[in-house]
Amino acid sequence: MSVLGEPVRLGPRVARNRIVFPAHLTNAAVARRPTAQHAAYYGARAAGGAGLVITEEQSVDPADRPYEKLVDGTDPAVVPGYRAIADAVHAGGALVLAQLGHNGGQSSSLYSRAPVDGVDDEPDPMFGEVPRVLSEAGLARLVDGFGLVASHVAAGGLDGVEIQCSQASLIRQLVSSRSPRALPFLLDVLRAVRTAIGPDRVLGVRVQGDEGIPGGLSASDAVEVARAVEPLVDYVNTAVGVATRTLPLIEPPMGVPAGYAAHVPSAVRAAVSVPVIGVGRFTTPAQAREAVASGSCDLVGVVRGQIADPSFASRALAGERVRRCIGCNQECIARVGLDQRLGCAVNPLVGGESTAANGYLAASTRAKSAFARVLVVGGGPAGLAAAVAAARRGHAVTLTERSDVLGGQLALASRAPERRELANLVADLAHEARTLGVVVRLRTPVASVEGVDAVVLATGARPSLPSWAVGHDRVVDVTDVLAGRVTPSGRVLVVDAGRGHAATSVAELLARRGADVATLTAALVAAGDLAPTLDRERWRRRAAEVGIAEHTDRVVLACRDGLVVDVLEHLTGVVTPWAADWVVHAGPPTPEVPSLVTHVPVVRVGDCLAPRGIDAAVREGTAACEHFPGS
Amino acid sequence: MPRVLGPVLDGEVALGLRTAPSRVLFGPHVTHLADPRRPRALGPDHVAHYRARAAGGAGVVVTEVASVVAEDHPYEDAPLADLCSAGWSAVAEACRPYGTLVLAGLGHAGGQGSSAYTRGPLWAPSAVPDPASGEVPAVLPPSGIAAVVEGFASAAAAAVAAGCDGVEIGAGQHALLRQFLSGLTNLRDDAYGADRALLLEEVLGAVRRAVGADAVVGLRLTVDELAPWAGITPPVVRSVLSRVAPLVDLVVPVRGSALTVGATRPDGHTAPGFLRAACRDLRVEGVATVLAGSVVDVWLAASALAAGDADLVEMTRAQLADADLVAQVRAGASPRPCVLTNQQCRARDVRNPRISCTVAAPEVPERVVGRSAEPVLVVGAGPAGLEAARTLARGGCPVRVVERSSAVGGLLPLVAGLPGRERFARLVDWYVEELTASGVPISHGVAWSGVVFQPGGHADVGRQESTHDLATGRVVLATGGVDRPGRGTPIAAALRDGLPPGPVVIEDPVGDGAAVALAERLAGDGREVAIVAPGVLIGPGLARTGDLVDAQARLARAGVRRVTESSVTAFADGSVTVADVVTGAATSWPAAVLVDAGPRRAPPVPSRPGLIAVGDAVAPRTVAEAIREGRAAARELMA
Repeated sequence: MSVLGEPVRLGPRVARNRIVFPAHLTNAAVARRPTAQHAAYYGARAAGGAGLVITEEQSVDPADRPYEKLVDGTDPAVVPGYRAIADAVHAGGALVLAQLGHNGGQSSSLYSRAPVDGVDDEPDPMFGEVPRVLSEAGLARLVDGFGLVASHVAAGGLDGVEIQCSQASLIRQLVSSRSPRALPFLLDVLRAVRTAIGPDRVLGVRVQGDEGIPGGLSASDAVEVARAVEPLVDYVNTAVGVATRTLPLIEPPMGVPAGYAAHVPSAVRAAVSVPVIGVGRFTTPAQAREAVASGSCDLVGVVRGQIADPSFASRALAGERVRRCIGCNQECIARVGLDQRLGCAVNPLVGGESTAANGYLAASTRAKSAFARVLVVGGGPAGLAAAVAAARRGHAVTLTERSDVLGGQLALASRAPERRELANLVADLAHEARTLGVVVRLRTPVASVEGVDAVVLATGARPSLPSWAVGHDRVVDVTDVLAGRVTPSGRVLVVDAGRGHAATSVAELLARRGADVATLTAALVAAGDLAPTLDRERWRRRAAEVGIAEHTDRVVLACRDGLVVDVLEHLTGVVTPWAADWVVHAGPPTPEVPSLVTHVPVVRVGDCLAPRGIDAAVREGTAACEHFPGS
Repeated sequence: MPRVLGPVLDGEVALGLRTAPSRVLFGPHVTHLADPRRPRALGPDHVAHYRARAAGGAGVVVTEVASVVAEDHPYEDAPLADLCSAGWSAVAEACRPYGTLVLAGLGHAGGQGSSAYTRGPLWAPSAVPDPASGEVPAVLPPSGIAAVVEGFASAAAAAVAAGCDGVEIGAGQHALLRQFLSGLTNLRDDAYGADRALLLEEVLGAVRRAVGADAVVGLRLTVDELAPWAGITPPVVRSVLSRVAPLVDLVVPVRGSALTVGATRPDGHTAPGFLRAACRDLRVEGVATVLAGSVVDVWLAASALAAGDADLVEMTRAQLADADLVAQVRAGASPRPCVLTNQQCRARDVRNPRISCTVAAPEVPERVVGRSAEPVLVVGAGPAGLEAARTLARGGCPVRVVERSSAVGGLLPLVAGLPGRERFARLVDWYVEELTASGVPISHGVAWSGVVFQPGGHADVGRQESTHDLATGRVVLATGGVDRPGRGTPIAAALRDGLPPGPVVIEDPVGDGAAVALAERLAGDGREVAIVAPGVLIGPGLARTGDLVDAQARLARAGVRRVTESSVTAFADGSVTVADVVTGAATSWPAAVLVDAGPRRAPPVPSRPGLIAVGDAVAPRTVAEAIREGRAAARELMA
């Protein structure tokens, strides 16, 4: 039994192990109330072995609504929803707490149509609204709000409450502004909540470590707050980053190492005697184990790891392999930021737990029909996901791949700096496929489909160069560079017709090899799709480091020999010649659809249907066998 | 408003075999008024929204576009035809007492939709990525085309069965049918590529068969994609229209493509009535033609109708600003003017903001049944104070307004001096007309500090005034915001007082368009201008209004330097230093003036019984909040 499996006492209650599913936004609320989706989502992580589940924030003030789908915990109508969450999590054997919070000046008036209430009249960067300054009476009203919501949580049968004092929180704002009102307010809140939940439930706080802002809070401030509240709380959770300002610190993308925030729980743990939770992009059981074993924390928070694999905890305790979060942030962070329900690129069932059996990562679910012989054509993420899902249903699956490696576009994309973890998905899917007995044939272009009952076409897409590239050897596609077929050097112009990682990956790869790289896009923002996944800031730092120049608002009209491209600034209509030694183009590829003559069902999935992201490939591959007759 | 214009808008007009009671159409638009528990149905708030326009005299109401197949889910609460029958029925019933014709908006957003909710691919004529999302759609196969045709027909049948007078088929902005018509998006090599109008013709034919001759079939049709190299142009549309004319009763020409979404319902930077000539040229015998495109003024509408340029006018935003538009005209009154800012009504936004209006404040009912008629003093004649005074006067409450300056409108006259914001001057004029008609006095030259409260609750305004007709301590405080001390010249001061000569740097942490407009004006005066902003865009708030891309083009053409992801770190000795907020890299250039476009702040506000502070005096925000809070305060004082 690893250190992760040891039970831990949180005041009046005991968590069965050290793995926590911490609070994070899901956008699963409807009409400001918790839903069956919340219960199913949290329940799945409890069933998957987590020791402690903490719900997403429940607001203590109806006027506090920075995003549409924030639960208004003050409405007594939330109690049945809380009851459903408690029942679902308890059925899985975990404890469940509700996080209570108020966003203060980090909120928006878009939904409330009322002024934002803040600790001062300085606007917060994200929504930029000038707050109305909370009076003493206003703060007292909020203390009552915390108490009221805590009473609803208790009535719903949850095991307790966590007070959000970090990330997006009025309490963080009070502490951060060094307000003398900060600690008295927090202590009043804790007393009100304790009164509401009684001595038999758990009360914790989530304290703010590094804000990532010049002059902002740091680990020592977290220690100070933790010490002050220690007599009133049963545990201390920790955080870094401000949600509306330094979000990449909270939810870092791939490229940021596990345990990057460990110094905060370490410092707090040295100062208080109650259990301390640490967080920080722990995506594998080994990383989680190390966080606890090293003494950095008593419990370890794993959010994205348990989104990607709901059975992360039980697998960690059993020493088994998990399907890893790759830190792509495409379906969790990016979707939630767009008011959409939380999803996951590697686990397509996330967000649909209440309507679908969450069984694809669990043991084989039986096919409803007779087992079929399934041919999957293509070994990229869509094909691998299709093979895994079909094999889990008991079908006999053969996967053919034209090239000599699995992974398709991911195998190439993972060769770029800070994109290595993309290969983890390929490795995990391939491992699952092998375990399930999928027959994998590499270097096998599909010729005939004899002797099968169904075909999944997952043949991906092929590069597509624009018409101006025709006849120029030194105008190449990003995949040519990533695959090593060409090695551009000298003055390289990367033309980004896609706005995702393809252009930035190749630009950085070549710049690090010494090329003089400029990127060019028609969009108003360079590498715009890197912003929602929180990759953009790191990209810009690295681009500056290696001297990549980024140019926006420009399109290539034509290319002449000697390699001069005519570049149009489309906002002004000015055309400028641009000399380069190589031009690398990143643009949407063209679906690769082999013509197959067959009478068995053929299901197209992933890029061969329409070139899109990892999520579409894995989702459609996983669902492919649902389209077989009789399924 | 000249009374003679009334009958022009007010006249009945035949649409096929039905008759609309006026020539004013309320067009389809995204509302986010759905009940979140039934997000794809039309709910009670939709019904109220349309009923109000019918009651106000609209001749035709077109409901929010409903998707005709489930694969189309362009925004989270986009109506789905299969789930709309009850809602259509309720809307039709609500509008029937007024004689207003109700047409169900039907559409399919194609490649301009969203894959976020279906989690499947977008479907479009060809694999051309949408410029907004960048997403490559899947190519609609023949079976999918047949399903779209059937979807339009069955949805139309359902709408008419539910009691609608007909349907409006969407081939305008955000429409698969437009994408099929356009060389920008239809690169097919089958029959639907050889004849790009084939799908539209099939859909309209199927719809007509489904609803019969009695129901109205309308068509919203892009007539100019503003992309002549491959897009739809008016000559192309003329031939299309002649083909489909026998199938439709009503056509609404609109403009814009996926490349120019903002051009379809543009803000005040585009002169109203921009489709008038196109509309006139496209008129077809037997089809009622509707003039759309920023028709917000009654005089323009009446003039187009009188000249025979159109049979009806679409005045969607004008009716958002004043639901009683036609009724007001009938009564010889002036409707509340739409200011064409698009800040509150352009609701196609992933955050699902409920549709609102900068000037109408629909969240607070306008009609008041006042119980208290004790006098009220309104301090400040900006939009918050003016709206409060108007509401009080209409509720029968004695009211007077005191204003520190010699002008009316607060910041609005300054704002109205900026490019694209001119219509705010009309709003001020309208308030002055309204208050004058109600006999509300405005005393200028009286500051809040000059108001003295007397024992017994009376307020003494100025020396020469007697106290007996003044507020008895009941005050709406609408004194506005104050400049926030900072490193540069506050933007309000720059607008008010002008700037010394030399190169200007505007630092804009707000991004709502004020800095953009000031930069444009200064550049227009021949000044060297740079805007420095912390985010990835200059004027990101303009995404909401549809002006974001156009604003960048105007700035670029005017030679304004756009410096993003940066902040000013030093300004001294004729030089500004700016640092990249991510990399820290610093740049300096000569600058004589630094303008701080940061937010203003609220002044200290006294707290006393009977005093309600509103608008920027609470927290500096926009005109919408000022008007909303001004009206709410008036209602509270009269309750």
